[in-house]
Amino acid sequence: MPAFAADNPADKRLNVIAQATPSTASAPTATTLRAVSIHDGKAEVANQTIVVAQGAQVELQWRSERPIALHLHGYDIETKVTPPATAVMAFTARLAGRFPVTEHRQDGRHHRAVAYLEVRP
Amino acid sequence: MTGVRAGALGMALAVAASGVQAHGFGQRFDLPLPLWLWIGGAAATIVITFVLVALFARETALARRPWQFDLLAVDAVRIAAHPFAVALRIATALLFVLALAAGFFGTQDAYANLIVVAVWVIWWVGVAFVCALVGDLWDVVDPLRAIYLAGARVIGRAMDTNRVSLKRAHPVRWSAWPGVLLFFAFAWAELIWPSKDVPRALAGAVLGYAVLAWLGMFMFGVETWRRHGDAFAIAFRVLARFAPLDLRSASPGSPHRIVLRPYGGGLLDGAPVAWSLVVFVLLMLATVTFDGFHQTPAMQQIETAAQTSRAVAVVLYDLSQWGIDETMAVHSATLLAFPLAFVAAFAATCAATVALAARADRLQPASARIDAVGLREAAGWFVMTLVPIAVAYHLAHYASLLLTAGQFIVPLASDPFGFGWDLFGTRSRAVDLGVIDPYVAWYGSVALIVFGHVVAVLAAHAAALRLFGSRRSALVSQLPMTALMVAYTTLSLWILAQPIVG
Repeated sequence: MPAFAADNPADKRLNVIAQATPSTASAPTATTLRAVSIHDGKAEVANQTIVVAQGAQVELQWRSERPIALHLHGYDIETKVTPPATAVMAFTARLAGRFPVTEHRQDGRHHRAVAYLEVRP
Repeated sequence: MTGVRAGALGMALAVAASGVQAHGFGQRFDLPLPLWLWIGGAAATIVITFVLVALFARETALARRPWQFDLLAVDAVRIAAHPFAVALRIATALLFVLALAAGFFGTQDAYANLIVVAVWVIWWVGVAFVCALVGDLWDVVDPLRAIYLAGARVIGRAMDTNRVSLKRAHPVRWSAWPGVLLFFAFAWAELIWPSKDVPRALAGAVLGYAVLAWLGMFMFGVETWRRHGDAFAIAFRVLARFAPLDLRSASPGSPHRIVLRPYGGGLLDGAPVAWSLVVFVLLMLATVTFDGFHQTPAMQQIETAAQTSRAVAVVLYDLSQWGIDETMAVHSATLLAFPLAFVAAFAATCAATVALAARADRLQPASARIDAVGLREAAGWFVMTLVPIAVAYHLAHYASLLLTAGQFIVPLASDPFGFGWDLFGTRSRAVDLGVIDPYVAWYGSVALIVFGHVVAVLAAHAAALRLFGSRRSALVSQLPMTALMVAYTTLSLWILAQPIVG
């Protein structure tokens, strides 16, 4: 279940423009679906970049061999992949730009991005 | 959810969120320029350059100094300038102390602590913007100087003396080289140092630099230190040459100065500049370019190449035994290579310029010949003409960051230490990451870079006219410099067209 950082009242600093929608609901309009596998800390997509159109209903389905906590910057959506289950991030791509998806680790030093989400106008 | 459960979940989310947010400002990057836009921009640059060069065949207006208007002649300005400057200076000094305190005593979460935004966004990007677009703001508000002079006067009064420093003579041979070294150290910290967003480490570095600066001011005098040793005073002064306002605050021996001039009008002041300053400017340009370059896929290819090359891999392994991270080592080496490459390219271009001018001059009648110009003199004249390209790239690269991450100053003003205060009621103010439209960012970036290039070409031609005299010598000698500028502008556009991967 995707966590939504702005739900926490103590942490309203970064309010998100996009809303997180329940993952199991089937959207009435066409949803942009992207199934992404993570191998060795990197997403297996071309140039590690997932491209979607601005304004689209997006559903990212994450799969990984080992448990990994992911954070989509900008939209500030977190989710945890526990294999063999698929973790889902569902949102409306209101913000345009190039947003890193990083692995959330406890030690927190070098955060190489797992993937990049490009929302194009 | 019941109260207790909500609280526990809230705590868990708070911990998770605050840990997650302590990365730095990688929240959102600009979309890379589409291929057609960057190629079009480069093509437009080349075409405009040719047009300008053709026009130069007839234009002598560039040989004259650019127009100036002394704003201090206006009564309103003369009366308001000093109090306004003092107010800004006090505000900056207070902000400096507050940011340091927040860094040492506040939360260690990068996004919740004032010092990280204050240093890397408001100061390094924001003040650079103002210095390049308006005037040398740093010369007016420099908190290190303000705090030093205030302290020195208080101590001086107690010791019954007017002196504020030892006024040791700064060795002429050192020139601005201390500033060059300090700027390189700063560039390393900005681009490679892993702890640059850790509040306590950042506060320590800032305080360390301040102590060094105060020592320099004590030994050699405030203005001498700011001219030769203070990396930031020098850097902002270089950027401010591009600005339309020539600002200088009063110091012993020279009064205030507020003079209006066209953009780029200050580029040739004091030419030719010293060799150490030539290297400083090239180091600045190289740093700004590396800033963009080290986030491109090309940098990752360099890392991979370094690791697959046997010789380099051995060196990297040895370094890692000493605790130096391999990626850091490769990036540091590339950071060093950039200014060396810039200096080499620029020196070669100046040498070609001088040679072509001399050859063209030899074809002139004896009465119209001028003395031979040396490489050092040429470099001292032309180096500042590259600044507009760097300014334009810096603006294009950082405008989005300033407008998005800069918004954090609003909630941070209410809670600088991250302790949960709400001084101004803005603590929960939302930050809008969508404030920049991607199309505006794209077209704006390319327009800015082409504009910077045009100013640079015009300034280089003005320099050539003043240096080489005859119009024919000037025109022919400009070909290498123009080619260098086209290459530099194209490189800047190329970087903006790369996806950010670092």
